[in-house]
Amino acid sequence: MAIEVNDNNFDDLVLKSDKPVVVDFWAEWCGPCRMVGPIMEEISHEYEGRALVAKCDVDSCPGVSAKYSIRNIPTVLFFKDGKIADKQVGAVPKNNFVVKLNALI
Amino acid sequence: MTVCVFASSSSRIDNDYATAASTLGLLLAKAKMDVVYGGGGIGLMGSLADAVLENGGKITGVIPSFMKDEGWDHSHVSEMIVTSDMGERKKKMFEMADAIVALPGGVGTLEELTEAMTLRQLGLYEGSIIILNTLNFYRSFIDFLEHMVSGNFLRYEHKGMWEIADTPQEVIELLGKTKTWHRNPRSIARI
Repeated sequence: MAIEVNDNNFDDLVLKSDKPVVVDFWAEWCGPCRMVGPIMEEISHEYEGRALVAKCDVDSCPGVSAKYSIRNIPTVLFFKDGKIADKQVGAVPKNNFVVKLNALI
Repeated sequence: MTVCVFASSSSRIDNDYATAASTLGLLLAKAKMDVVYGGGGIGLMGSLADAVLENGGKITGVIPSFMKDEGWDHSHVSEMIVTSDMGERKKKMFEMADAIVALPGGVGTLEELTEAMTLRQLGLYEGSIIILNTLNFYRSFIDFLEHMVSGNFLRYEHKGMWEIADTPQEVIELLGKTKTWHRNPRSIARI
């Protein structure tokens, strides 16, 4: 299952993770985010133990959203060793996310 | 995701506008995005609806009862919601919309588009507002919006509320993401 992250726990759960982390920046009111949400859930199950999938609601994470200049949602950031390794903006097919994540494992 | 489309009901306009409306309908159906619109059977509304249906998509019309009585409704959309008046029709469409697209149109379309902008300015609607600028139809309106900004009737930040697409393909690309144009629109609503 994808974990929820916020301004308080982002550093501990994402930046200090020993596995690659996929972070889905989304909001309740965002239509295209609802197309990416189920894909993230699938990836979280398929990559369990190898990567972490996190969801970050931009309305409740103003600090993290500003830090990473999130201007369009959904934006999916791929973190490895505490740094951004890749990025995907917009609702795209699952394979686009899988290819980017596989490159980090 | 449901995309609300506002568009002309005129059947006397250049055929290029109808082609763009049909292409948008096809692309929305292919992208598996549901459509809600004003329920009309002719003009750009009709072209859009026909293309969505021909390509296996889902389109819901929302039409006031008097227009239905006049026979202005589309005959076979996926669902038709009949409202008591124009205000209720628009309210229903806004409620269903995750994103709004305005095609070329007359004063009715313009009124729907500008109400969407007003709602987003006030933080009452948070989805995308995309203007399909076929044949540069909205050139004067876009200039007028700039005029509002330069005269401080709108803030510069408010220009982030809408996006302009030249082609139906660009509309689909823009629908794939939502601009987080402002975190607290009401804080800048007063100018």
